[in-house]
Amino acid sequence: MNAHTRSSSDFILNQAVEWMLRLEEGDLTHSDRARYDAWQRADPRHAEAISKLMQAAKYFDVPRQMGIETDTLLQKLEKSTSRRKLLRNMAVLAGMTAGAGWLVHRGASGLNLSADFRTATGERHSYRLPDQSLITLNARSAADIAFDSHERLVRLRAGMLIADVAHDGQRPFVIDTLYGGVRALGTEFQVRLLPDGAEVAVASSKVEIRTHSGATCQVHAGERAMFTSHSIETPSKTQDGAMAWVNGYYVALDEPLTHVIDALRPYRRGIIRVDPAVASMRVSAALPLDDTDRALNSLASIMPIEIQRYTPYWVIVSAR
Amino acid sequence: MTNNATVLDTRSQILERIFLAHYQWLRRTLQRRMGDAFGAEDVTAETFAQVVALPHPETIIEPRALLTTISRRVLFGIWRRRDLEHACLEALALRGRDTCHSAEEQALLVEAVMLIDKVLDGLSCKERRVFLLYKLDRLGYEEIGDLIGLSPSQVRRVVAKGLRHCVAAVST
Repeated sequence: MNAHTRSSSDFILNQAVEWMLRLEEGDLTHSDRARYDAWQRADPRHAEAISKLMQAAKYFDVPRQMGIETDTLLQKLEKSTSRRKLLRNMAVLAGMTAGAGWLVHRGASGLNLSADFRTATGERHSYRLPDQSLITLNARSAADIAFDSHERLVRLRAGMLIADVAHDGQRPFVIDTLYGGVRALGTEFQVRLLPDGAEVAVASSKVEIRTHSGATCQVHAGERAMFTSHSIETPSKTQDGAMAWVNGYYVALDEPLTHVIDALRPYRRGIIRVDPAVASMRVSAALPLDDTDRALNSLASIMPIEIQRYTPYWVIVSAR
Repeated sequence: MTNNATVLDTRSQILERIFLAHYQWLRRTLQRRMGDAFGAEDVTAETFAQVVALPHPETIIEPRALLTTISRRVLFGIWRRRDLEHACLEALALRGRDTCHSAEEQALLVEAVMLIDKVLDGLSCKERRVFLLYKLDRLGYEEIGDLIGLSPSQVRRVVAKGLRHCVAAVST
């Protein structure tokens, strides 16, 4: 931008603000009003500046109409500003800067980088284990195996997997998680890591959950249960289709839209933002996981929602 | 002179090269820092989305330094949004009337407060108070002046400054 256009855009801005103030002060005469209209028509940038001021005014109307007063808002903003500064300082201390610091903690917390099996975004993979058991990792998942003469241990570090366990009378098959282990007493089951616990769903026979605190519970075919380090939910019936992801489909039966979108996320790079206004709408659909664009489009065709794509990495799902 | 096709081609080639060379690096780095694989994936993707939007990718000299800077900004943006969501919920809980508010109302408020926060960012404490008293509480120059200890014309100048910030905030 050269000096001339810059100074003239500042000039326009000041004019627009001045007109806005005069409009709000409400003492315009007829001839003032005519001058204002003429000014607005004189240059599209004039009208644009005014429309931006009107647009901003609407944002201020929102808290005003909700009855939030200046002092409340200022106090809350101030508090979050000081927290923001604190966070920023912490991030800098933690080494969020370019350079050699990046490499230091690799082993300590780079959880999934060294996993035996790991899948990337949009990738699903089955692995045949040494005992002929088969594990299938969903996208963005990671697991290690540690087999010895007493136990066949698979450690699920991220995401979810299905285990189709080969029979071995000597060595139990256990999927271990942050929260506890799931021991196979039969053949096919699924374990999924969630932010606050793990979920087990059983397709055939049964499994036993043992949490780190020592609580145990059996889950039978057709059931699912959540568990944390110290508690296990009572098993409930699984939905048909809970394991359909193995075949590349996500099957939703009367689920909130956010759940469905959460299931698509591991298959798509980038951000899918769901407008809270549509998040809880119920959906029933079978969606292809390997073509998330098609999945999103078919959601839009059966629901009153709109899919806006700003870049391939940025999708917003909102009300139509 | 190069023709448009060549320029476009070069641009997408440059972006692709940056993406291939640094995507995994950034994602892993963020994951280590944040301790959250999916969050790191989101920040990485948003960072690259912003790089794609840069007008002159061919001028990028130190891609990792640039990516670090942008990703930090993205992360702070996410934190900021989270904080503002908190602030909004608290403000809603504190308001004088009935406390029933829908998820939609909350979302609208968060959007509005994000913009208001941007407008207020370049103002001093006193100026913020003046501008909000004018916009939210709908007080006149004189009343505000009495509260803050300014003359009506000083109040008007602060309001004008706030309005200029509004245009800038809406434009970005």
